[in-house]
Amino acid sequence: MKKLSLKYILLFRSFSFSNWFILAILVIGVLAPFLANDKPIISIQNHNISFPFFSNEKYLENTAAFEVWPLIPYHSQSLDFKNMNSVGPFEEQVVPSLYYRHWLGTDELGRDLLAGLIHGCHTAIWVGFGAMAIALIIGVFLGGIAGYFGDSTYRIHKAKWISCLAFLLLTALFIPNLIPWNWAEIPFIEKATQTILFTMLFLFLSAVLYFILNRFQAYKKSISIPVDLIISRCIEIMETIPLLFLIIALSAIFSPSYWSLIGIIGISSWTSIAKFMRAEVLKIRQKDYVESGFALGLSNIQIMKNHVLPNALNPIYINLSFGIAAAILIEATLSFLGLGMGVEQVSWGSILASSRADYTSWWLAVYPGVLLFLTLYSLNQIGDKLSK
Amino acid sequence: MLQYLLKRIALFIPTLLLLSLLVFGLSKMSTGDPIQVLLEDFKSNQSTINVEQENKIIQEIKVKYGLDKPAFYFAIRRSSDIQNYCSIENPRTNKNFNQLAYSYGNGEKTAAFYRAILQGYVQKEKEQTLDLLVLKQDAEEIEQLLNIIDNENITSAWLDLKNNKTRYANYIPHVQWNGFNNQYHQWLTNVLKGNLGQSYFDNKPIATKIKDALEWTLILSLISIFVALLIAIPAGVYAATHENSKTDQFLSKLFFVFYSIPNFWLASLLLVFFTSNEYFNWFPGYGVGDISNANSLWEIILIRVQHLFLPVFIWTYGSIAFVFKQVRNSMIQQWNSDYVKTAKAKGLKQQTIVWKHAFRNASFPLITIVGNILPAIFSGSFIIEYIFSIPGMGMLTIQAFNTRDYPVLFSIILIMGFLTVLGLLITDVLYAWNDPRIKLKKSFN
Repeated sequence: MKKLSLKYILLFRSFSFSNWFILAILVIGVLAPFLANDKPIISIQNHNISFPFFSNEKYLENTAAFEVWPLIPYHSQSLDFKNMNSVGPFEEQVVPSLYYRHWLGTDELGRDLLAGLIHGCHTAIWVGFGAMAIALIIGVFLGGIAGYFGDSTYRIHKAKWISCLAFLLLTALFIPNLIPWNWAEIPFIEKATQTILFTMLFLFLSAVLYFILNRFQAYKKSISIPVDLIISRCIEIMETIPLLFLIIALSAIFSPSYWSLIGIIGISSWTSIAKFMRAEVLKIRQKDYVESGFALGLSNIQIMKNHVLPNALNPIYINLSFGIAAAILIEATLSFLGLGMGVEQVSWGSILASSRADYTSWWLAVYPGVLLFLTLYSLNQIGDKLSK
Repeated sequence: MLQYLLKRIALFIPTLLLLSLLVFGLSKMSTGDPIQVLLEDFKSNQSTINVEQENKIIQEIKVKYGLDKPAFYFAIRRSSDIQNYCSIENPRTNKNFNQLAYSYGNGEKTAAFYRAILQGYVQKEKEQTLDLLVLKQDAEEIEQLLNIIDNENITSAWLDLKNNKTRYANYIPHVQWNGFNNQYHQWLTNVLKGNLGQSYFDNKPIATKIKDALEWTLILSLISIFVALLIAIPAGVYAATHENSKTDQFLSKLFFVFYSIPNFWLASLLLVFFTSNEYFNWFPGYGVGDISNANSLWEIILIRVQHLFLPVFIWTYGSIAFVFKQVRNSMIQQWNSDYVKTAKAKGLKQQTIVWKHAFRNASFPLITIVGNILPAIFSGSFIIEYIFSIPGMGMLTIQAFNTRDYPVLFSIILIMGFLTVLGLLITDVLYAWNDPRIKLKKSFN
């Protein structure tokens, strides 16, 4: 296994097609609004410089003396009424000049395919990286503490444990039920204040409970918490529901939008990272340097932060590229099924779905599909290469 | 062994119980009130109806689907919540009365006000003004309307509410114990008896719907696993025994490319090129084929193979790549070990060494792999059934999701979860039974 470091990435060691391709997708995805948009980036009109690109107002065409336009003068959502009903890339198009040509054709509503693909890159990288970031945070944390503490090493005073449990139980049961988070009419400040007040109240109550319990000898004993057992059980429950079914169930709760889809994919795919992390930490836990850390009297947090985490994370990073590929595939699949993030957010999957409507416009099926395939292939290839 | 089996089964039960809680919780949290959907159906038959008539219809719907009971064993609410005092379940007025109770901090008086308004409907007076009243929150607007209605009961109930503002009650929790007569308890006992309830969409029993759908999904997934193993094992073994040869490199590359092809893309391409008249019309485009009694067995097989060839191919190629990689890796490990070298030195036949010695040891992880691809195969059913219009679980799920038919949707998720847990249980037990070296102590993780 190669050591994955910033130096390794920056030096572009063994940079092959896959790495260049992903780099290109990243750049295009980040710059998507600048590359394909129906507003000029800079416009000089009567000695006034304006940036129509950054304003939400509709841009009136042909009034400015000097304009800087994006590379593609179409947004993924802009309709070209002159080129409706799926005009192919090699067919004759009704455009004022070559600059306005639809290089990859249009769809049924006259939307430019190239602009759609570029904005699709934006969606794909946000979903891929965003969802994996969420999965990484949850997975590393839960897997890490499960592997580190195991079933018997985490010992805690009985009184502390009971009051902690009481606090968690109170918060989990009362806060969602008492605070009207789903009412938009009530100002956010009021809801936030209530949440904080209640949390403080529960904190106070459990602190009181701790001091009361601590007076009894029976509660001063320390007991071990089966951290590993609890977390493993959670992972098992999550894994019993096939991923797509779980995501569909979750999208029935959080109506799918751009951000909620990232969250949904993130919270349903942390289990594999957690399992990986747990196994890795279990291995590291047995190492001599961790033992000597204990012998030196270092605290759990010091050992975890300085010794376990840096060593355990390396293989996780390598597996991330598989995870990103999986997240991108899930998003495309959902959009293809029409369960994705709604009409205004274009994605490769939603373009592919539109190709199902008519068989003759091959460009709608081939270009986004090839792009999706190459992205997944490159990510898998990078993961494969790093793990060797 | 028996101890391990019992331990595994003992862990299986709480997992299922938690799964049922999770599924029930998810179904209760889902947006898009199913009652609203059903109400629209009822309403389309009638012209305008007032709130009180609507309440009656809603009550009927709730009794029919067992939704009139409290949801869970206990409920935690604000003590100012109107639902502590009466049940309001009309989506038209719910939000307004909830907020009224919140802003006055008095659930009891709001409930009295609500009941007085309903009573007003019964007296058949100024129903349209009442319909306006149930949507108002502002005190002045309410009083204007009350002047028009001129009903003593409603006005006094309103004044009672207005003069008893207890906003502190919003901060006092109220725990209500509902006993065993609740929706979750009822649902769980019914599920254990094998009764999953009925669909909102067509009122058919969910168990029958799922049984019909599951048949196709199981048939297809079993065929797919079988085909995948049939191709991947020989290929993987060959690639491992001829490591780094041209064939090995070719197969590895090929399956790697296969693994990255999105299945729904390939499926729709194949559908375009092999089922439409414009290109090659080799396979039927959708469904599983109609079979009448007149068909002979041979014809039935032919029809089914024709219809299922493309779906099974799409379903399989991803798993082939995965299984191939695993078989190759574990076989390479065995192939470089000492006992294989000994066997070679003894002059045993290549075939014997490969299949009798090395593969037997390399096959242990395969059992787990089959268990692991089970959820993936179920998820795969989604896309393939959707594209090829096969009436399986994936198709049913999409239908249920789109029609907001939550009892069906969440029953499917429960069944899928159950099947996956069962699959994992069986693979674990088989693994332990097959490989005596396994440490039984920690293996349930």
